[in-house]
Amino acid sequence: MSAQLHASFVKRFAGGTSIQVENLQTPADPRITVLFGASGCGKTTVLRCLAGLERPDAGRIAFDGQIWSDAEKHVFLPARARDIGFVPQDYGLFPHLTAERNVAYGLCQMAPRQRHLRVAETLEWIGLHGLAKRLPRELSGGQQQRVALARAMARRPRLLLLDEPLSALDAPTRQGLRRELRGWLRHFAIPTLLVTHDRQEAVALGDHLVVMHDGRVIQQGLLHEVFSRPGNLEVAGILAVETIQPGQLVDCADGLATIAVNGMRLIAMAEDLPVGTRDVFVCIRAEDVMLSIGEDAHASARNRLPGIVRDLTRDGALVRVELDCKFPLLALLTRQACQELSLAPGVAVHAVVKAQKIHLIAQA
Amino acid sequence: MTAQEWQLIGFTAAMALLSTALILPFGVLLAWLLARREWWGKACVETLVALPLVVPPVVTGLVLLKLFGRRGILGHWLHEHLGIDVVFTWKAVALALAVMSIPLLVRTVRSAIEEVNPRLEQQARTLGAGEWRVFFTITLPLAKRGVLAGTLLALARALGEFGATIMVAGNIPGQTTTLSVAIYHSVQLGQDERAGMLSAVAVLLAFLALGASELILRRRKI
Repeated sequence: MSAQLHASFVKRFAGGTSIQVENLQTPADPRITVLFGASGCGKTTVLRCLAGLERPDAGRIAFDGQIWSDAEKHVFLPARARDIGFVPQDYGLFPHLTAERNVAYGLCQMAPRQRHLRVAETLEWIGLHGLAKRLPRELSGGQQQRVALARAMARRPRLLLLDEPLSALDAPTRQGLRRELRGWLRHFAIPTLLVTHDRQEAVALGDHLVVMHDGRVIQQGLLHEVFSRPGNLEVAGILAVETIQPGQLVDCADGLATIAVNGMRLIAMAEDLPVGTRDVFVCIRAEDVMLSIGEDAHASARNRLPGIVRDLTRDGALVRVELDCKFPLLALLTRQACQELSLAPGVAVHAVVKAQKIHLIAQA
Repeated sequence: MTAQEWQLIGFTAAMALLSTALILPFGVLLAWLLARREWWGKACVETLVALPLVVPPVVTGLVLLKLFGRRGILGHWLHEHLGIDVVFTWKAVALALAVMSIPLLVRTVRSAIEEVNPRLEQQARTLGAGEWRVFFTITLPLAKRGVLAGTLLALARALGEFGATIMVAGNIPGQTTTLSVAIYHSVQLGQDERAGMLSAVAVLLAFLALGASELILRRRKI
């Protein structure tokens, strides 16, 4: 995994708040990095610093060996020279230009004929055929977002920066566009840094995950590794899901899906899965995992997974139990429950999870 | 109307158009600098540009007369090096009109530029556009109503200018006399009928320019 973007910088604001990024790296492959965190934690500022729209007060940003910003050496490459695609949360479409001319705006270096072809081809790909002559105000929110994405991608930038690309859309539009977005990012093969506070969006789109909290980067790594092994409780809290595992859809019948995870079979609700899905992420929250010793308990639950307790961590009145059920699974129990079951590392248990508590996210 | 009066109207309109054309590029650039850039001496320039709005026009005319007269700093230099005499010629008329109308242009254009969302300009930069391209393809088109309205306001102001013009250009019939100056002169000579007719023309011209400006500003913004 060779890192393409290296960023360690500080951006201070009047009033004393600051954004601190330590050793943020995005790999060239896998390509889509998700910058994840709650609203207001500084994600947008990080993106604007990378785009060259804000100037960091200290530190440096380098991309592919080229220095974009170095506060100590007073180096600052302006936005226009960074060869990026930047899509802000409000799309930033030019209101006085048609969809077509918005997309063509970043292509002024190309010969007119090539430019025309590129614009037509991009609009076609992104599903805006026939809307080329419309002004932004004559387009719906979803269509505007498509134009903004088309404009950023038409230039084939070296790095694509997307700020909450789907957050301003209504739920049905968002789900449809999310699936398409993944396809476009694959098709154009542009390294992408995507900002979001939506867990589902992060899991559905990302390969690599960077978690931010309170203006700091607190963990980064491969998406499912960060989700399944949060470095600390803070990260786990922000991600709000303790177990995320890649799995394969084996069977789907009567609204229930059977998933294979490392040879273990799980039953989950099949709703919302697009037709033809094979690879999925299985998401299980720790508080939805119950533990039992013996045979008969919780007979109604669909999933009874034999496993071994690996570790116990106190967390206030609760205990985090790390299990090995052929894949790492986290459970959250009260201390009394732990004592009653006399849990200790090495003890064999059954993890019990209802089918409707297992959330499936399709890997596009 | 006599041929002399038609000449008067034509000359006044020509001078107003010329002065407006002269201040337009400079005024728009200054408005952009005031709206979008921080620079040393900005507050000073801001005040200087607004001054002709509040100082008595006669005083502005007097300052111009002192600056551009043969013995004035600028007038002396122009006469020595370029052989140009400004005061009491048509050039002085254009100068007076330009100075008196530039505040209206700069103010209107500045607020129009300030209304353009700077994020759109930033967006253009991320798409590879340099500052000139950003200005001509994003800022100016989005502020164009304000620029048009400001231009018409400046034109209307120039058409009716009196105080500064008479100080720096005088009243030489056929050479520097403008509509306003001619009206004043007619009243002094007791030619009330001529004064009334010329006044009606002046009101009509101002009405057209101002009306057009209002119309442009009121139209729905993009």
